[in-house]
Amino acid sequence: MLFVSFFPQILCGPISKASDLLPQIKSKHRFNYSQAVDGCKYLLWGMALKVCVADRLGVYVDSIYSDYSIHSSSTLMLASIAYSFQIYTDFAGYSFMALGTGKLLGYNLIVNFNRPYLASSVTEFWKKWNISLTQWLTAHIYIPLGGNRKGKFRTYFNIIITFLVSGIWHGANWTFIFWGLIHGIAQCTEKLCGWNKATYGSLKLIFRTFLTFSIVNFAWIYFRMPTLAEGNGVIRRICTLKGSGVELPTDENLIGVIAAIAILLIFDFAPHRESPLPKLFTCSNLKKRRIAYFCVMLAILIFGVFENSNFIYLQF
Amino acid sequence: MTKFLLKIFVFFLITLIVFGLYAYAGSVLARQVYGDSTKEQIDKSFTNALSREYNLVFLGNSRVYHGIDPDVFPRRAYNFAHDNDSFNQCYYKLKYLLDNNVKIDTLCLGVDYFEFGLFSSTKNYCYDKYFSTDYQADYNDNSLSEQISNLKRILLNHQFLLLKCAYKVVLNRGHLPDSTSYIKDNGQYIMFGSTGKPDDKIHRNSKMLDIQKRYFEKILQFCSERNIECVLFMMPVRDGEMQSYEDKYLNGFNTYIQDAIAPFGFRYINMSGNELFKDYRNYDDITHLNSNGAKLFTRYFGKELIQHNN
Repeated sequence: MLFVSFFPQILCGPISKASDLLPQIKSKHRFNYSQAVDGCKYLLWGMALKVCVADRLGVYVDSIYSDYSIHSSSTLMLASIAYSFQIYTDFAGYSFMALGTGKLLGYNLIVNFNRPYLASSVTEFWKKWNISLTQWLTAHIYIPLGGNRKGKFRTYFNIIITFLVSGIWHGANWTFIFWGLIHGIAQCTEKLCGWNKATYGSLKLIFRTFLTFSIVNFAWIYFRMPTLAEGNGVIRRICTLKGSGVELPTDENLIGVIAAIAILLIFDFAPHRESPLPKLFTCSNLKKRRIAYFCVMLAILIFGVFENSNFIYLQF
Repeated sequence: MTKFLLKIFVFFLITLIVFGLYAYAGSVLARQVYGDSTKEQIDKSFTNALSREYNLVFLGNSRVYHGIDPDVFPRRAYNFAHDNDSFNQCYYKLKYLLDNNVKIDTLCLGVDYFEFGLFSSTKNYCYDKYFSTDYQADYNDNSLSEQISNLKRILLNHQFLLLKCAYKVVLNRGHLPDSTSYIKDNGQYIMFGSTGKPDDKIHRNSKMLDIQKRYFEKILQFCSERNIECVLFMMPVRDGEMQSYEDKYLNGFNTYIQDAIAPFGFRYINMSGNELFKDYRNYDDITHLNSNGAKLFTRYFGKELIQHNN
């Protein structure tokens, strides 16, 4: 009962395994200072991603997608990229907050995101995006179907089925099914061509990362639009180069969006690190750490959006 | 745990003090860069509404607030409109005037194609002290949630103020702007720092909320009972805004207005398509007439009104 009703993750994950969480629930808990501080760091960073980045981008994305037919192709393209970052920071922000709340209470939950947009293949993307869901789908759909043990054709079939289930899991709508199908087909293609295993030189790696992001970004359009027809409408408008000029966010939103993307890029393009938190949050210099907490908190107050926002993943 | 809680408390305290100073500096600079704050505008508008002499009042949203200059209107008039006002606010403003013994014989009520779709609470922190509790009851906010939303609004209003003001000052090469926006004694708002462009456009929602229809009909009923002549008018609408609406919606809207006023014998003057006011140079932006445009339009509307009376 405690396992299924563990409130930090009940709304939208991460999906913890019983074998991970139950022993923690059964063990005795005492207040742990360093774990509580860690929890606060995750809460702070999750909040920053959510209100400074996701919701700020959301203001722009919603204004464009609310009536896509009047906007130019370049504006729609920009909005689709903004949505990719919005959904990432929205969901990752929630996951970090769940992780932080868990840590404050003395529980360790799974880290659900690991810089997914730097993946160089769609296969790799799913190892970095909503990691707990990927693990769940693998354990409960892909492996029981036979995984990759029953020949090539069956492997591709299993991947497609797994991602169709993933689509349906997000909602009873053709848009989600199509989104799942795109991811399934992309992974099958990668397996077929061996792109999921190959190592690349830096230029090839950049190209592959860009290509992966483009595929994921394309699929997000269907994920965002309420109907398949509207998703097709956006794609058609982008491809046929309708309209001219780019409609940028206006006034303060522009400042906010630039700040939001800067925060994200600084974070995600930082050199490899073990913790999903910014390096300044975990460095040994106390002064630097305190300044970092303070700046992030102030950024939340100044650049945050506090009205009419909800977590995108709450609807699934 | 005490050490942890103490550190958290100190952290939030320092953050709030710094943010408070930031917000304060922002509001001081904003006063110099942008002019009257929303609250100052509304307070001034309500004060002048009771102290000035007039027998015709204009009510409506920001397009009326910016676009009607009672100084050039052929009758003694007062512009009591404000940004984001819809029919519920107009109704309570009218009631406020009559409750305070202001003698008016004509109400010029601005209507807009998107106005029935608005149910704004953004100015409630200013309006609450002027309107009866019936007004607040429509928003279903208990006092706590209203306090929280007011706090959020104040927070949001101040978030970018300092940055925006600093940006404007930098644009002016270190100088504050020569003129700032202000509200005239006749109730009209004069805006500075923005000019219309030929390709301006805006998206408007085509919906009509039941609550606004109800208040719209209440205004008509109220005027009829108090022998106040009600003239409905629509300000000019630029092409970049008109393209939001489908013909079906426009026809339905105009039919609804005509049907609503027919039992009372009131008039509806729709100037949305008037070619005289399509020039972007008469506008501050896509939707608001500038002070020159307002003068031209108010004179035109005055003549139209007299013509209709004859």
